[in-house]
Amino acid sequence: MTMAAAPSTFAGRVAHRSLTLALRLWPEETREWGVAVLAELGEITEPSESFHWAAGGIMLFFRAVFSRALDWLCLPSGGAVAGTGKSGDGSGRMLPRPPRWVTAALLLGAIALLLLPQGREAVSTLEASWRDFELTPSDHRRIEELAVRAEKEKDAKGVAFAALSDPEGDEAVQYADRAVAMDPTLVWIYASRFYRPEDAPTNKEWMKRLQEADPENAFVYLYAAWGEAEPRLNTLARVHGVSKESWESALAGDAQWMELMGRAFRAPRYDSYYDRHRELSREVWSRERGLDVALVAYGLWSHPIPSPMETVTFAKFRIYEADKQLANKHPEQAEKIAGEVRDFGMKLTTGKGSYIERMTGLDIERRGLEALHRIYGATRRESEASAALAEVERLDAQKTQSFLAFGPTYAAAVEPYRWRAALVQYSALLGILTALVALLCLLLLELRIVRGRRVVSLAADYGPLVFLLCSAALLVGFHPFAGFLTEYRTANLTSIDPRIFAGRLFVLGEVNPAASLHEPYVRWVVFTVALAVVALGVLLRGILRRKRAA
Amino acid sequence: MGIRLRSSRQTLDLLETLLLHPSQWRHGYALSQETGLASGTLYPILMRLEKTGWLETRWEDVPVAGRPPRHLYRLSGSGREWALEELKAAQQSKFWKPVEGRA
Repeated sequence: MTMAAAPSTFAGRVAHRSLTLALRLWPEETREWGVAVLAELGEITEPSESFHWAAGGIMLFFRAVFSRALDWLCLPSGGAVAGTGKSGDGSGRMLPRPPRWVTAALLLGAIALLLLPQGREAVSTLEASWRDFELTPSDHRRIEELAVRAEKEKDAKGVAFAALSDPEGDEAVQYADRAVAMDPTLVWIYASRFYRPEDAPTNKEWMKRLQEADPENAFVYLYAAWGEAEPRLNTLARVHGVSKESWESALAGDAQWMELMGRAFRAPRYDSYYDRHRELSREVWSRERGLDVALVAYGLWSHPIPSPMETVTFAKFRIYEADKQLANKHPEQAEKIAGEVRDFGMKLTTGKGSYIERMTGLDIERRGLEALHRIYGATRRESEASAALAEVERLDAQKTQSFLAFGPTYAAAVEPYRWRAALVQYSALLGILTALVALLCLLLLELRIVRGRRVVSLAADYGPLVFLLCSAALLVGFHPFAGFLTEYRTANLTSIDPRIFAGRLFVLGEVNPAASLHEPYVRWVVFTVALAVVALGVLLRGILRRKRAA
Repeated sequence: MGIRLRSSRQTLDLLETLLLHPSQWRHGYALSQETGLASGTLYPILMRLEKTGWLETRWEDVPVAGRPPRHLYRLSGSGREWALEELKAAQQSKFWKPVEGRA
């Protein structure tokens, strides 16, 4: 069709150019109307009038595009709007049943569910469970952003949280120093990063500052002693292997370690700062709602606990010393040393520490009491010997009770989460698979790569619906997890046992079907089942074809 | 008549104009000038009328040299009957009144 010659005025040229451009993009089925509008433009001599005429034509163009889009949305995937000159609307061919807008609404509905705050938390927690709550580079970036922002806002706790959660040593050291510079009461974070000295070698300057800030806390000396001995013990284990004798003699020969352990045993109280760490994490987490649970959990689970073996070994050294004093006829001296051991055990048991520290405390207290029982027996202080023995029995009962009582409590708190965890994991897995398959099939249909295939049509028919149902199931399954995470963020610390918090998160990872694919036999089972399904499909297809042909 | 068209005042104005010289083919710009409708309003009405079969359209047989052929419009036979009924009904319901001097 001949195009009108471009007018001479500027307004006329703009009008002509814009209509010509619109005509290029005009939907085919109504393009002749666009041509009609453009043809009239040549009759208009008044520049402003031609401009208005063209504006009306552009409106018409948008109406045509909108109407075309509506028609397109009302067709099933792969169907073409009549009059587009493409391969028709697929009538007589196998196309999905729902129109495009239904498919789009289902997919968008599923995505919207996952973008809700609870959906986002479910996805991030689930994803963290797939990597055993280890941190990723994006978590590292998140920590960096948090640290920069917190520093700008003079938020010492935010910077401290970054220091405790960041696995990158150098940066975390800087964050820790900055946080303590802003708020010196946060000095305890110097002893709260990473659970083994080999992960984060003990900083001697930090240890000095910590001992000055909290000189009455046994933990700061135990932590420093651990940092002192651990690298040497690791080298020893690598060169000579681990034997109890070589290990004990290495420790006994380390004057610095012995000195620090002695100070720890004489210190009046014990606090491994775990409660402070939890409280700080809780506070920052309740403010920073977008923080991934892995970030909080990783920092908390990395909280150091002084080596129980080293602590018990020092207690044993002290008991040897007490026995030696008794043999050398110095029962008072022996009683003093054994009493010190018992008292240290009690401090550990009743102090602010984790379950492991409390159990270590019970063991040390028991050793001290046994030694006292021997000393009282040797010095014929029968009633005191009996009292010490009764105390030993009480401790044994307490230890057993602690084990026995926790089992059912733990099971009652964690087990109900197991089937919910399975619902979360399996609905997520099914949702991902169906979403991927549905999107692929929709793409194949829209690009007209595949037409008339029943499997492709079925996947495009039901895939989006299954994806929506899976997203809803994921949210329903995650609801109790979201509840306990919120409780953790908002409740006071004493109401939540950290082992139960960890147990509920771990249960999510335990039923992870994707993780079991790492097992070679599971891979073989999946492969065999998939092969069997394909073979069965081929067989059924063959039978159906023969039946139809007959 | 099977399909019912929403007759706005603008549609009625256009029908009235087309009915003035029912057998004559008219250009879009001329219709726009006579009815006072902008192209963005006029053409959607023309498109709807054509879709329902009440409007006949064709392209100019002999275009003016240097210009593309123009689109021409007039009411079809059934379109004229329907248009007369519509105008009459609209007038009776006082929804619309003819341009002075035309009635």
